[in-house]
Amino acid sequence: MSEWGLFRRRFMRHRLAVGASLLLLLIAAAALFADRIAPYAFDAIDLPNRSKPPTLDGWHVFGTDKIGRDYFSRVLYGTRTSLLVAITVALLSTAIGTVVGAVAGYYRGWIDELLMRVTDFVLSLPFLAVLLVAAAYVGQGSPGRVAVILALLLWTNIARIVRGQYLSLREKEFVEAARALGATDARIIFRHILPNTLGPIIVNATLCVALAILLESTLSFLNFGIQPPNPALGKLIADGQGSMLTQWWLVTMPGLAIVAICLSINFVGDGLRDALDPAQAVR
Amino acid sequence: MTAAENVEPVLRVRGLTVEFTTADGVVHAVTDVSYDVAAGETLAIVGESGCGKTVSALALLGLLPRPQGRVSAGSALLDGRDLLAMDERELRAVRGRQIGMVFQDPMTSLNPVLTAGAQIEEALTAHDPSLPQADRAARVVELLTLAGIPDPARQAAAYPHQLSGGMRQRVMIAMAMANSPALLVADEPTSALDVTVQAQVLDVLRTAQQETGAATILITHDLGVVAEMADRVAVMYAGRIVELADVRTVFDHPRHPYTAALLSSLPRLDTNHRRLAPIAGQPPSLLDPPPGCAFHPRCGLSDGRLPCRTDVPPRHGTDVDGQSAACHYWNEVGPRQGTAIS
Repeated sequence: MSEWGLFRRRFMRHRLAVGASLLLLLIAAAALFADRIAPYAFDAIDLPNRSKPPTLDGWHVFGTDKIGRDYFSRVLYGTRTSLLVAITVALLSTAIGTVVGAVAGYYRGWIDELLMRVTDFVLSLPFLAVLLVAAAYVGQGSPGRVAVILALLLWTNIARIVRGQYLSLREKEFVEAARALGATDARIIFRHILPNTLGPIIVNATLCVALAILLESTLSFLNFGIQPPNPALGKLIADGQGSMLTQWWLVTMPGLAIVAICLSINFVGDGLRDALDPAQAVR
Repeated sequence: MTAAENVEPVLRVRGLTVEFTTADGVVHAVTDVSYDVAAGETLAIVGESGCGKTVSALALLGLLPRPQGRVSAGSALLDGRDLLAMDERELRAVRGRQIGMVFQDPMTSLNPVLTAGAQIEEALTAHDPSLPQADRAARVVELLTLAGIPDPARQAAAYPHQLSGGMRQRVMIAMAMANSPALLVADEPTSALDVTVQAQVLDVLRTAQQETGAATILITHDLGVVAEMADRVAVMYAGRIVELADVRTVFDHPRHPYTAALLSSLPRLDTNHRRLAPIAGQPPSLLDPPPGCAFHPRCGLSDGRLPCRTDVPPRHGTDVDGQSAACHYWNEVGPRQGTAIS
């Protein structure tokens, strides 16, 4: 059976992960096609219908906010923004972390020392404080800049994981064999060793998406993240918290979206880890 | 005796000395090793584990573990260019192009996530990135055929875990031969394989060598493999070559007591000995080798004579052409009784 077939069979055995990935696909598709699906524009004000609880009347299934904007549409667009930011963060931080970890683990010596001290430094930063300062100076508003700031703080985990992998893989005989064939360092790092570390990298990248969504929500909640008019999930919660007791749906609906996304991503990550881990190779 | 003796050797190693710096001191892994290998010829390097045979080969390719290992003296001329004086870039151009290497364990020497064909292609692209994809694929099939792999086009798409040990070692040989190297180094190519597969893999190795006319260094501890494959034999002990001769001479009349002891420790079918005759004692620590001849504490011939304990014996030429033995009393070693194994 092919690698792919084995992988699929092991992943399929993980019921929770399969369900979670279906839900995730659904959410992602809904977010992607928000323009088509949303019953209203996210900024369409409709004062007569303000502060409505969830109702089928006019298809305000998530209710409306204080100025009558359809809350389902806002959550949908918010999900789109948040997911987009999170995926960008995951890709960026995985790329940075992988290169840093690979170079450090492969070359060892002073390069490793230097890169790992930088990693330790970033890890030791008080996360929220740095985020707030950075966001205050450069990140206000634009989803792109928020993503870059988050990525610059989140690459450390993956760098350490990848470094560990490279430290052990560089001693493998197939690496020596590649060297004996005249392969350059770059070729050994990226062509020969990297594919062997894809499992942990993919798993970590998925979990990074969940973490990024939470962090971005936190930032937005503290009013340092994505700014209006772009709706983001954290921002929606922040705006709704004042009236949490009287208009529960303003906090609950975007909150549920965050929970659903993060939980499914974590389940999918678990399933991927089990399916990609060669130590548990069930044939 | 090979006809290759009069031509310029492909590889000429002189005075190769390798040291390892460890926490306990300097280990003299290889000391003053000299030999020639001619085109089409197979030189077997035999010896016990840790006698320096693999290290001496890795040193040629610049693959010594760094920073501990280093070549402290010697030269190794491959087609007139000194491998030991090359920088990393020059070495990279030589590895896989002029020197092909087959490693001991095909289970771990193939990359588990790349197909057999892709790994052979790596060997081709490393030295000729401009080769068109179609030519590379054709060459892969050609090499797999040379290595005796049935249905090569299909096996090229197989991952290492789908191949048996013997098949994997054939893929390794195909990789080593990819660029038709002038020198093939095979480090214990059959030690990790089932006995039944060993002979097949040796056959493949021999075919590959004959097709390309490569000079071959065969590193092994298996005297059966030596008898099967080698034209000449270099016996190593404690980092030095103690005897060098063509294969018949070594088996019929070794001139170093270590070689003689090694041969008599083999099980034989033609005598009635119940027990094997092991060599008494342990190989010396290369951290602190004994003075004089490194073999003298275990040597039955030395009998405590003074030169053995004080002077390192040089390699004496013997009365047989091409044979040399590093023993003060080489002419006291008698011919071997009975027939040679093979």
